[in-house]
Amino acid sequence: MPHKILLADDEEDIKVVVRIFLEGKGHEVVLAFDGLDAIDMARQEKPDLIFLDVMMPVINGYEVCEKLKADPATKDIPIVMLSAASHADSIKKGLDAGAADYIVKPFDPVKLEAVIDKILGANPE
Amino acid sequence: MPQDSSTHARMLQLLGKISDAVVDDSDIDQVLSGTVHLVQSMLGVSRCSIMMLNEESKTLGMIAAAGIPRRQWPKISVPLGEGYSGKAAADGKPLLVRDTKILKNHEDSRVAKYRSNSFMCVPLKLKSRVIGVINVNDKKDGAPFDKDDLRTIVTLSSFIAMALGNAQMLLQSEMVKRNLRSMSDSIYSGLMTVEPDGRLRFINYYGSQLIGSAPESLHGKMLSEILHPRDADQFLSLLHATVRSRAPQSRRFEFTSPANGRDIPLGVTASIVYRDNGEVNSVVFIIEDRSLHREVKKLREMDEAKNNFIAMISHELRTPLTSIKGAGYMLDTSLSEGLNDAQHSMVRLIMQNTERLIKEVNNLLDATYIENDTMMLIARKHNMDEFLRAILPKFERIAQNKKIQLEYINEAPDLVANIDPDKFSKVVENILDNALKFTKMNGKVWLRVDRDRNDCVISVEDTGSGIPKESQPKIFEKFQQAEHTMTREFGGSGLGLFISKALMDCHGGELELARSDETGTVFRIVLPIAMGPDTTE
Repeated sequence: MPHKILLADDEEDIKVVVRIFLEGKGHEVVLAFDGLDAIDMARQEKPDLIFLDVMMPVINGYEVCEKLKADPATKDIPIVMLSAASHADSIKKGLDAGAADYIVKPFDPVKLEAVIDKILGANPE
Repeated sequence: MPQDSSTHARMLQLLGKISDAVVDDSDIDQVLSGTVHLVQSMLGVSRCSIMMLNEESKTLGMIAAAGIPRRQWPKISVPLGEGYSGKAAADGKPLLVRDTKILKNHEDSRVAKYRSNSFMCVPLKLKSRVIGVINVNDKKDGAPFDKDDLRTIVTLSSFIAMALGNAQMLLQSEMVKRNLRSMSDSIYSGLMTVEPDGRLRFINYYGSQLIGSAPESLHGKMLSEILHPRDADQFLSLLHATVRSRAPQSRRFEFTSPANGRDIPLGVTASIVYRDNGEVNSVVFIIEDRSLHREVKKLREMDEAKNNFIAMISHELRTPLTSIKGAGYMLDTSLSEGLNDAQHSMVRLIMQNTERLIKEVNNLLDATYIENDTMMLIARKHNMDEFLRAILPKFERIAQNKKIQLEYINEAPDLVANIDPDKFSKVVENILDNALKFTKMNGKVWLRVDRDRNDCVISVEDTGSGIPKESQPKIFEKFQQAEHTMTREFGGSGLGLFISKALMDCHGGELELARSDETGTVFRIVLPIAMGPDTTE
């Protein structure tokens, strides 16, 4: 059983690359283009895991994470932050907001697969 | 034994000399030396000495003596409470021994030839605090000391104590004055003490620089004599305002340097120094050159702007690099079936250079954090052996390609240390990277782990050509690489070692160059060992 992954990033190119990679691994990928869209999509699509960019217009990833964690309908969906901000302060802030993990950009696509395996368990079959 | 009139006269003379030393600041050494010699001749004794108590080491040391050669003094040291002098000092009570022969457990003096038959030890007390001891030994005619002799020495002792105390105080206040002077000269602000009538009592070096004359030539002059009239008025009106309000006052004004006519923006604060009776003694001015403030402020702003710019650029570069890296990865792996060899090697080239760019961007960002003192770690306990084994395969591939033998030797595989895995791997990778980079084909690189007391020591040794002696002291500085030719040949911005060393500092460890000569180089990474279970996932 492949997983349903929500990817929220305002950077179109990153979405293309990550989508192709994850689909190549057999997952279903749904996309959100900013923070507000991410919250809507999470509620509608009920993904198994969310990859969430931090620096997005309107509302940033930290706030999105806090809002999703505060909503009973979405609080159990694991969230993994993706961000170019690598300072320990930023990482702490993400984990404090309720993220299960924090991946610094630029990342190896394999790392995404490793995190999915770690959080949702390897070999979905 | 009653004292005759001439002894009495000499006694008075002696007391007079000692009191002179109390009231004026004649040389204390001379007074003490005069005292012991006068006691020696007056009482007709073979030896008289004064010992001073060192409060820290709790020992008595000889500072004046008649009948004991000066070269012996440093050897004579008596712990407080030991020997007769030590006991007299510890108890604060005078000691008189008429005849040592009738003492049962008589402790001989340590120096054989200073054994005594009869002696006195009298503590020197200042306000009931013992500061030393005066010892008097053996009358030359062989008669034992009596109570009268003891009384004489006890009387003398209080005068000697006063003279000594006075000398100490004088010495201390001189030292305080000197310290204050050198402290005031080392501050980067003007400091000026002015009497209420406008006479300059003291000015520090920086203040004198503003006026343009040596401090000594200014002391005692009226402000109106040494400053531009308008500036003298400014200082005097500030002085009067301060005295009137009895509270510190500040003012800013343009000051014209009497030396070169240059205008300097000053910020001046005045406050009052009172006498014991509450009268104004003087007014202290603290003078800041505000042009320097402006300059410093501007430089700080520029530095901050530079750092923000670097941080911003690094983030902005990372986003497109994420797409390039991801796209390259997929071309290199899942999508590579459709590529011919030439196309495939072009993809590899893009990938390698993307990695290089990412590394430089990361280095730039790390260096900025280090410079701003905002580097932070997320440290956890890790087993070092497991940690290094995870890093190793990448370097084994590089070594294989260069035909270098890379050997891993771990003498202490159980060691656990608190590390930020991301930051610490940067250090190890950087050192290994350098070792492989600077080692020629068929060379060898060793990665060793050892325990040194409470430290885990990771050393990286290579058989490269070594770092030139003259470059070694600078390798941990920013933008340094041993030789420019090396930079061209091997690439790199020269931030690696600078960052690695700072990261090891953050870990509470060290990074050091243990050895580097024509046979090779050894770097040592030292980490404190963490106790308790390992929480590596």
